[in-house]
Amino acid sequence: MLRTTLILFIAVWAVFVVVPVALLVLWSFLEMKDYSFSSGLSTAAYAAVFDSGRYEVTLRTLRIAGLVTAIELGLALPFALWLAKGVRSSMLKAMVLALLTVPFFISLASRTIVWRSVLSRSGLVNTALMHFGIVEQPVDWLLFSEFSVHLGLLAPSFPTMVLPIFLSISLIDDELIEAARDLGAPPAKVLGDVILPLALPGIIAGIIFTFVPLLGETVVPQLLGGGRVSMLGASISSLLQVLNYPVAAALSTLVLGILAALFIALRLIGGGSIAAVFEGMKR
Amino acid sequence: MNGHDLTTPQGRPGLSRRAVLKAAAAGAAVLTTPALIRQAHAAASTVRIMGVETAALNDWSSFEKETGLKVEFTGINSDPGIFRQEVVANAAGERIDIFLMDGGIEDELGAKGFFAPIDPAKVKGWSEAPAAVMNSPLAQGPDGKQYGMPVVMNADSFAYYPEVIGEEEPLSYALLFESDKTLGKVALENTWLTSLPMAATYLKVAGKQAIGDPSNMTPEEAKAVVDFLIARKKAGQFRALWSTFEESIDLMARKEVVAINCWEPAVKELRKQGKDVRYAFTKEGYNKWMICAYVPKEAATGGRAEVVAKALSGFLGGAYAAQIAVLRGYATANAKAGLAYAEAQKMSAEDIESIKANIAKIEKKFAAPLFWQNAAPTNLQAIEAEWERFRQA
Amino acid sequence: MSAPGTITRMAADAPPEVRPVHVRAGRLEHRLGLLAALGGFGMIALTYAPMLWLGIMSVSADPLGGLPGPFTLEWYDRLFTDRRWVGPLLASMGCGAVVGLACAASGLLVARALPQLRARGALLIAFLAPLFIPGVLLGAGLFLYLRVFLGLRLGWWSVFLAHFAWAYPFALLALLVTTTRFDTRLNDAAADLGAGPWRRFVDVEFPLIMPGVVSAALFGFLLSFNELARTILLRGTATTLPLFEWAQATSHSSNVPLIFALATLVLLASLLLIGVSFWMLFGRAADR
Repeated sequence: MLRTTLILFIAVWAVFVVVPVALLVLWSFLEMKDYSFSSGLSTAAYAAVFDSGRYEVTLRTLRIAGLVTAIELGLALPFALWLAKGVRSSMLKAMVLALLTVPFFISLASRTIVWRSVLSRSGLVNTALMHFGIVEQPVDWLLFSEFSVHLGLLAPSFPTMVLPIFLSISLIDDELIEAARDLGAPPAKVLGDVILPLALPGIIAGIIFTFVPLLGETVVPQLLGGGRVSMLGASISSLLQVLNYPVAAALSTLVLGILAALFIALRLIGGGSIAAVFEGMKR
Repeated sequence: MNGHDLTTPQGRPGLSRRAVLKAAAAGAAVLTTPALIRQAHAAASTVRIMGVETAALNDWSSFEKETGLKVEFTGINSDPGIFRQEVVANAAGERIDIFLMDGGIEDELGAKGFFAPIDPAKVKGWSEAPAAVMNSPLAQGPDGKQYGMPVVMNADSFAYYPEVIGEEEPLSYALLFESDKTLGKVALENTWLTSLPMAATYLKVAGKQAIGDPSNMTPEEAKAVVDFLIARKKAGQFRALWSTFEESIDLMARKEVVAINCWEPAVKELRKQGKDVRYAFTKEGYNKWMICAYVPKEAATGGRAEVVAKALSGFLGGAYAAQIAVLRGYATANAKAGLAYAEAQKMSAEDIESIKANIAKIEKKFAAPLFWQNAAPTNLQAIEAEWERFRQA
Repeated sequence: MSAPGTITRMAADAPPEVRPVHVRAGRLEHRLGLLAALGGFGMIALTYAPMLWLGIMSVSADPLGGLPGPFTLEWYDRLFTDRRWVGPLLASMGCGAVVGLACAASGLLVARALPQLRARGALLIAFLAPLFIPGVLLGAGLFLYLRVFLGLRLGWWSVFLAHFAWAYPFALLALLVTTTRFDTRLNDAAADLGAGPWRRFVDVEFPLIMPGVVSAALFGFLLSFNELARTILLRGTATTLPLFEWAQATSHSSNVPLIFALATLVLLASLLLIGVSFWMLFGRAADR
């Protein structure tokens, strides 16, 4: 019975999710008017992507999302390790996990708009800088700049990185770590040879959970970028507003292509494959 | 969840019933929903409205009392793309009796047969409303048919700090686009819908660029306007682009910018904070907009037609006009009915005063020349692509 | 609450040599641990400082562009006068609960079977696919497919589908992290001792993969609760809390009560709710 349910579920998923996603790629090669697509194939949508500067938006978005993800990983991995293996009090652990979960409930727009009172020309930072005579004129680039967008994205993306890594590290048997140490392995070796390989599935999950949603993020770039730092999400929304589905689809196909290229490059360098991820998970 | 934010509202049975219904529908998700919705719509005298929140009341009870209808309101935002999608592809007409949307859209959706023409004779109060408003191009299709009935309207310009700009009016849009006084201290609304025609109007009146209709530009005209805007962007004219009402208030309140092409109620909020901000009377004219009521073709016949006629009369009635004027500082097509209603209901002197001020303001501004905001220009996609080019520059 | 009970029982009954070993920390690890904690708590501070500010501004007279004070309850008063948000809030909670349960149940089904299947690589990609499509476009894609191609009438079911498609990859990965680590030999051992499939699952497997199941349900609920981009196009006439706020954003009226006061109330309520439930789930269970 389990098997039948499983097959049924996979079939439903294929029909209602995989097919529409696959169709997106097809749409990018069609032209559309009044909700009916042309029959012939065309690359006009891709030409439009390059003409209106949307190609640069794509690159900028990948760059910002990549940098933020890297910072999160650098902070989250040690933190998750500490939380999973260094903290004895289960009360503290539960508290930290709760603190990481609660922000998901709060509308991102509410959390983001208050940054303006910190970063604006008359905000806290500029007031302090001028008070201490560090600058004479308020610093403009604190707000409505790539700086403020990065800053605004940092906090909302942290939990999605920490939680899966924490989960995978806390599943590592303490005995395994102790055994490695009893055999005389120095801390760095324990980390590199025991913990990291075992935590790999969580790390990969964390990177995906963080990086990919950042690609479609619209709230922070608008509220803290002030329309000066345009990212992919807003660009696609704007296209859908005028029902330009083919160009929106082309833009996403382009992103998918770049992600696939990164993935293949990683595979060539690291020799990993999807099956290997499962093997890694099993270890 | 803690108790108090889930309290059942007292004395407002319609709302709590809806709330419970929605929660139940959510819980039962897939299967039971259609049945529940049918049940909710079973009452014959319910009018189902889908529209922008600008034209919505916080409390429909006086509207309901005046019309004898129950209102079921589904809010959308002012994105014309979403609205088109609902009407064209999602067959919203099958489950909605009246749409409230920014005028201009009927040029496209009316002409294609999604809306039914409205018969003015069936709507109470139509003849009392000014003909110039009722016959505006934002309510009539290109074929001259009356697809829309004007509901809420205003004429937009920009807000500014007189302490920086000076006291003298009328002002020029140059303050937004090309002025040393405001260099680096201007915010524009982040949409081609308002910001592009304003820039075009400025260029046209200043004689810098030949433009036919600022709200329905050719791709070449749009390109010329965007080239100008990009040059100004490079010169550092603009500090930010805003998208939500709160952002526009925030930008002005902390003087991050000193001029902004925002909605007029933002000025009301700022003055409430004690800021000396004004909404400009301009030399060049205004971005005149109106939200119109449209009737889907499915609702134009039978019992639904009766409900629709009553609701349309309600939108030209006094209860609605008075509430919109107090709530947002906007006028309805029949604003004077609101004044009469307010006086009859003995509303506060302050409210009556603001209703009077609204009527005077609208008369002055609507007499001014220039464009009607147009959500469906002929070269829509080209104009959007040009705006994107400005954002990317 | 059979799961925590089971763990406690197992720990107490276990012979001394298999009692949990705690990781000993040397001096270096201790210092590095402090540094790591500092980084993490720094981020938590960065998360909560704006929310604290939000709370303070929610009782201030001019939340937009002003400074704290003079203090007033005006925004809360307005929030409870105009209660149109209550229905959407309840709807969002209901929708989130359904999505969360569905994610946990179907995630468990797939995550237990997937590692054993031959086509697991391809299947994993198929299950993760929606993660890689920007939200608005997934919404548009589903809309064109369901409405324009299949001609279906949209409503709560399509909202649920969009939320589920968005949350499922997260839930599945969280579950895979635990199920792939589960040692299937434990099941074999239990079978040798005469336990049937159901007993094996309830007494042996489930307690060990429970953190993954809880994470999956939680991801489902949370991702659904604040979802907007995909919901806009698939709503029919359904209204969730984010949709309500989205529509209000163009109302030309101040939404300060929603942005500041309601957000603060949601923050307090979820702190309480999540705090208590995490303490019950993880805090108490792991005490030994």
